[in-house]
Amino acid sequence: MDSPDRQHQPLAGFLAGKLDAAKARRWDEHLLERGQCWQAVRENRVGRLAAQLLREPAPPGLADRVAFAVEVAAAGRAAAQRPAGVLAHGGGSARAGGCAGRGSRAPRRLWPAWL
Amino acid sequence: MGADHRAFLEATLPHLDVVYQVARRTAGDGQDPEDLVQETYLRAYAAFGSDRGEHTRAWLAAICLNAARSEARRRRRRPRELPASELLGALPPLRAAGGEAAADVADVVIAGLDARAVSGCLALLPEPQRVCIVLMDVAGYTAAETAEALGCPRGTVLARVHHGRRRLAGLLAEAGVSHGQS
Repeated sequence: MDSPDRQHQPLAGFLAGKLDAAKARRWDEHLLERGQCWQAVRENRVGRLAAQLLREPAPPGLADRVAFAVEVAAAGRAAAQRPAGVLAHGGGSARAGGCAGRGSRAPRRLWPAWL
Repeated sequence: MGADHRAFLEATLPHLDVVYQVARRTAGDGQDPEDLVQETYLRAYAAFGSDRGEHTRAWLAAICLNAARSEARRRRRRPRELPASELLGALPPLRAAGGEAAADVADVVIAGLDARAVSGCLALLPEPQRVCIVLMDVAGYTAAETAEALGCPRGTVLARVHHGRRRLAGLLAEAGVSHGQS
């Protein structure tokens, strides 16, 4: 089914440093003798170096954005699991007292501005 | 809201950089990689606590790839299927080493590596090879992690990376020779 992949697994394993010492030595000898195989190894190296050029750090602020989105999702999950009576009581006390002190259950925004 | 989301963030945020690398290279046309990263983390959070294998990094990569595919389907677009000639034609010229015709592929490519050209040529690779290269060479996953993320044998991953790298080198050389010496 995937025969090209299977055919190249030994060379791929050699290039990834996954072969044992004896097999790796045999591959070294083979590559010294066969120009075509040596060329394949060089192309592999070029491709790897080229792909590594594409590495770039995550933009600043992305971690905060992700953390906030997860926090919002967690809040939504908690609200969904809370019994309806607790919600009603919390909303009522916030309205009646108008107090935003500790322990109050004032409604909070569940979604960030960009959603 | 309790400690579970904090535990989730502690376990997953250290991998934000690699998830971003995957998202950056797998997001479809018009899809913002940062949106894809956020979607990945939200999906991961929803599934947090379920079996995620031995490696959180591989688990996150699998979710990111699935999210990218879902979004591509949703947009009813077929990503990465532009004609090769069109994309190669749009590549910036590469500097050919020494100006010699039919120079060695490696010499030509190394002499003129350009991130935009690499990105364009990477997009031309078949998806299985491209995804393996993105995970291993761009994001820094091991072959074992890549195999776990993709659900295929490690040997297959290594072979695909090998094929993909060679093809990528060939495409870059082709772009460099055709543009640098005409």
